[in-house]
Amino acid sequence: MRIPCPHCGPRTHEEFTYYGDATVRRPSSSSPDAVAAFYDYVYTRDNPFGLHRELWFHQGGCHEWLVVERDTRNHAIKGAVPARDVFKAGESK
Amino acid sequence: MADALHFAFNPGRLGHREGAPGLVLQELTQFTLASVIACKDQAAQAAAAAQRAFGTSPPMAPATAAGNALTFIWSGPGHWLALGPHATGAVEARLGTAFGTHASVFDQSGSRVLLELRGPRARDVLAKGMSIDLHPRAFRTGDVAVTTASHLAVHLWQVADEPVYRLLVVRTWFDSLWRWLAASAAEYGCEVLAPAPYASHTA
Ligand SMILES: [Zn+2]
Repeated sequence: MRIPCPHCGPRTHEEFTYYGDATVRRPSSSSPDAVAAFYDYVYTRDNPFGLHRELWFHQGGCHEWLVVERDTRNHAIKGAVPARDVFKAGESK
Repeated sequence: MADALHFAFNPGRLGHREGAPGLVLQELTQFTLASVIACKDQAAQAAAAAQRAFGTSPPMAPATAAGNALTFIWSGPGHWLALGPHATGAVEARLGTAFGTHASVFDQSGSRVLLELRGPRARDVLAKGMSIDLHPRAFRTGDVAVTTASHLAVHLWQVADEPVYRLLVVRTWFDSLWRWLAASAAEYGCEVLAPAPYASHTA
């Protein structure tokens, strides 16, 4: 599996650390349902069949967080973008 | 800083002994190294500051940029290593003055071993433990890769087409890297040269 790092170029997945679902958002600790929201945020995960957006950290390269779009059925990588761009734009959900 | 290789090997020929060596390996010593990390959204200002102070703009893509007194080696977005000959006086202060509030500067001199690898089989030796494409169509003179060699994090860049590479590795990992290099180069023959000061290798 090769991940096209937008900073470094194509690299073997062994240079990356997988961090999981990039679509979940940390809930507010001040909301009244914070305990339930955090339980959901930390433990509840979908098991998507197909394209999935996930966080990978390029620890063997540029030390940047990426949002990688990966097909969970066959590991085909559709693309990778800097996570900071995604979160700045607030477009990911 | 004492030569890092003294515990690992002595100058001389290793591995295959007939003909010209496939790899010529030399440690470069007496250099100054510092990390330069641009503050949030300040990469362009940091680059402009470097241009004024050192006559070159740190690269925004994986490449090297040589200025007066030092070379910037890309290390990540808004993150560079500044490499130059051993300087008297604190390099941190000199770089800190140049970058002002646009970047954080930390002296890394002594944290890394700097190697130069040349010879007709240098590319083949590196390819045994590196997953990046080193073919000239993909990696050329002036290009930098922050990647792994034999599972160890390294900075690798090419300084000449023949090819000549330079490689920075964390000092405490060097012993491990050396064992891999020696084993990988053995079949081609490896000539180890005596360490030389970086100052005489400013190309
Ligand atoms: Zn990267």
